[in-house]
Amino acid sequence: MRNLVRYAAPLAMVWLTLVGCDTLFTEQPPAGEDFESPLDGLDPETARMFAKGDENFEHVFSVDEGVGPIFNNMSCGGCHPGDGRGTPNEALVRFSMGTDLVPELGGPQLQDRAIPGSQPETLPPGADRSLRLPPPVFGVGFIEAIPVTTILANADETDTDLDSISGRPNWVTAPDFVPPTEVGGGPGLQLGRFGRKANVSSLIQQVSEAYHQDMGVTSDFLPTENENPQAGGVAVGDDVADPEIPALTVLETVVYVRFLSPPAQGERTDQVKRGEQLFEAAACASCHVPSMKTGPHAIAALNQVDVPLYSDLLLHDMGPGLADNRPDGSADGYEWKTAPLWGTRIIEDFLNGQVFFLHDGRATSIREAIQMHGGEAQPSRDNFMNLSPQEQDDLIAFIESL
Amino acid sequence: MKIATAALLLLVATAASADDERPFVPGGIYDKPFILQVGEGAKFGGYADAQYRYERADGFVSEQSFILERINLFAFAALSERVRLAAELEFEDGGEEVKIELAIVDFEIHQRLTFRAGILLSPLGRFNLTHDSPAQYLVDRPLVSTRLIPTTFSEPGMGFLGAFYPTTNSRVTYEAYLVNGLDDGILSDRTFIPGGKSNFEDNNNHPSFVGRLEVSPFPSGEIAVSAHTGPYNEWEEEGVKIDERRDVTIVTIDGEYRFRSLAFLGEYARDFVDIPEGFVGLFAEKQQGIYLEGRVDFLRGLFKEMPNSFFAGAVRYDYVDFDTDREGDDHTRLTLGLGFRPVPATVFKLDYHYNWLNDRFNIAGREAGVVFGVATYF
Repeated sequence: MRNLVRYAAPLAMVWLTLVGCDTLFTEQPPAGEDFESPLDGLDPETARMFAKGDENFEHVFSVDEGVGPIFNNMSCGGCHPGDGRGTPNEALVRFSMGTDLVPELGGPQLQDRAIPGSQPETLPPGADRSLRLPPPVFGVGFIEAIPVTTILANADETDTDLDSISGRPNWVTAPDFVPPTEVGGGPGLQLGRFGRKANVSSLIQQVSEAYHQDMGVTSDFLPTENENPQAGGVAVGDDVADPEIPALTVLETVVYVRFLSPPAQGERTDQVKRGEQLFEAAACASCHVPSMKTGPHAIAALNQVDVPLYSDLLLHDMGPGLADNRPDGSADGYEWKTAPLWGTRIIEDFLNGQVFFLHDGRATSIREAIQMHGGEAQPSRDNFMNLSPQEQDDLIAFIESL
Repeated sequence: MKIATAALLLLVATAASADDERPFVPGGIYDKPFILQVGEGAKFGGYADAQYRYERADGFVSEQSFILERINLFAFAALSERVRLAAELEFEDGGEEVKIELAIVDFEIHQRLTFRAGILLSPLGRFNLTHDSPAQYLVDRPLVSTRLIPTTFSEPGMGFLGAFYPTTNSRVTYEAYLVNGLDDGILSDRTFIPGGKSNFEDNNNHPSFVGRLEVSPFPSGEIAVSAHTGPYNEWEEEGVKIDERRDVTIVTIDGEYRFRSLAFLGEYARDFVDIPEGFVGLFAEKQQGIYLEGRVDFLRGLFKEMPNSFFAGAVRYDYVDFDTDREGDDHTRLTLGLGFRPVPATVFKLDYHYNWLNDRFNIAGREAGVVFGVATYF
């Protein structure tokens, strides 16, 4: 038995050494190197809702839980890997007949999947089709916290300053289920902030419709099943009682995305600093406004802080090359909301080493994305193309540092 | 029918049976230490598996807990020279889950032909047949045997098994059964074969087949192939076709070689699942996985008070690809284990494992942990 003690003591020490060793027991990724971290300073109740929302975001709905009958994906995380942007494989298809959104044919969103026993939607012959890459979901709390007046200060609908940039807001009507106390809720026209065409004014609407339209999951906010008019408008196959999730689940998910922290800018090297100056000089910053300030907010991290999102959140005519020729709210077929550039630095870490830019992911590099800018952005694009190769590299290095 | 009868007679009549001491499956249902015997009849036994787990994922503690993983009770009765009964009852999660893991009646017509019926242990890979915790050198079961092959995988069914002896030292065994099969629980939130087990009634009125063929060229080694195939969904309701029939097929290859105090073993499995059209691209149609394990026994009888004691070391490599059509969606694990057996039926195990995971978008994650387990037959 003395031998047992003799051997047990070193074993116990080995174990304690193992437990105390971070390398052997995995280390946390460096702060700010992901899209999934919460903002600092959440109170315990908000933090609990954030954690629940995180679970909701990754939850994969089964047929028994109510996915479908027609749908695009089965979880939030199925379209937004790592809470970042998706790839063309996860892109949604919006369709219309010219300016007609054809709800009688299943428009405006094509739900091209169906549970067994149901029929998926197909693109009607002759329909205009617009692919929509899933956007990143971090930082939307900051976007929500920017006062309307701050956003409108950058609007110049008639180009009164003659700089060829004429950003304008997308005024939309909020659904009745969005409380007036929510940003973007209430009667009358509201400023659109979310979506590729800024066609959604509130996070509750964005999240509720994602559950409803993308996953076919009904909630207290949208309790009626999404039917396929092409199959006679009957929601067959989904036997789960509606609503399939309570309002609380939606609200938890809203809290989750609202308080996801955007990654900070990377190292500001000399090249990055040169690129930043060129970014300003090429007038890229006219639309990709480097920063806007939030208004008063109960959460300290969102309270009157500068938001370096590199977007004015306004609509701009991006020319015929990028036009999808279909309206969205008051946005026409040529207009797109300026895409925020924050988080560009680590996009590829969450897309298997690839990057996809523009509304449909057609650009696979920053350079391609710039080259595809047209319309109001044509002068900035030309400015970029007139830079020397080294200067172009510097400007791209700056964007890739964000 | 005449052909079948002739084949049966030929099977039974030809060649003398070997005088073989080997169990049908080493560590299998007829190779357990039964502790209690009641008179001349039934024998009883069981095993328990308790663990302490400390695991971290990407730098935060994902689990720290004491667990009574399972307690199993088993019984065996030789009702006559040719009729045997074996049963095993499993209690998991502190008794929240109780299930009959095994309840079979064997009727040995001949060494080459035994009829078996009841709730069978599916002969799908060797690990499923020999999964008892005290028999294992590492605390956790192989990934391929839990994520692809749903160990413990038992199903109601019936069929035949038997053994052939081509030469004095070699042996060929087979098992072939019709069983209820899996159900569409395999497609809950991802393709997950274990989600479709535990069907004590057939959900689609069409049996599945499971079989295994093992070749042992010499007493210290075996290699085997197994397969499980059949429909998993309901496609008819009261004679009306309501869906397409969809099948699932799992194929495994396993082997073990023992040399003195060393043993090498492993198992490979690949599954093929028919996916509903609306789920193609979201659910995997093909998965595969493998484990390779090396074991060594040492310091036998080190302690005078425990002459049958020995230490045991093990290292295992695990890999499972949850969707062979995607880059990512995989799990690799390396496990190092040290065990001590004061008596052969009882083991204390200390494992360290490190895991490399990639999700469906090939986003990497890391997990690691130490697990201390105590498992014993009783």
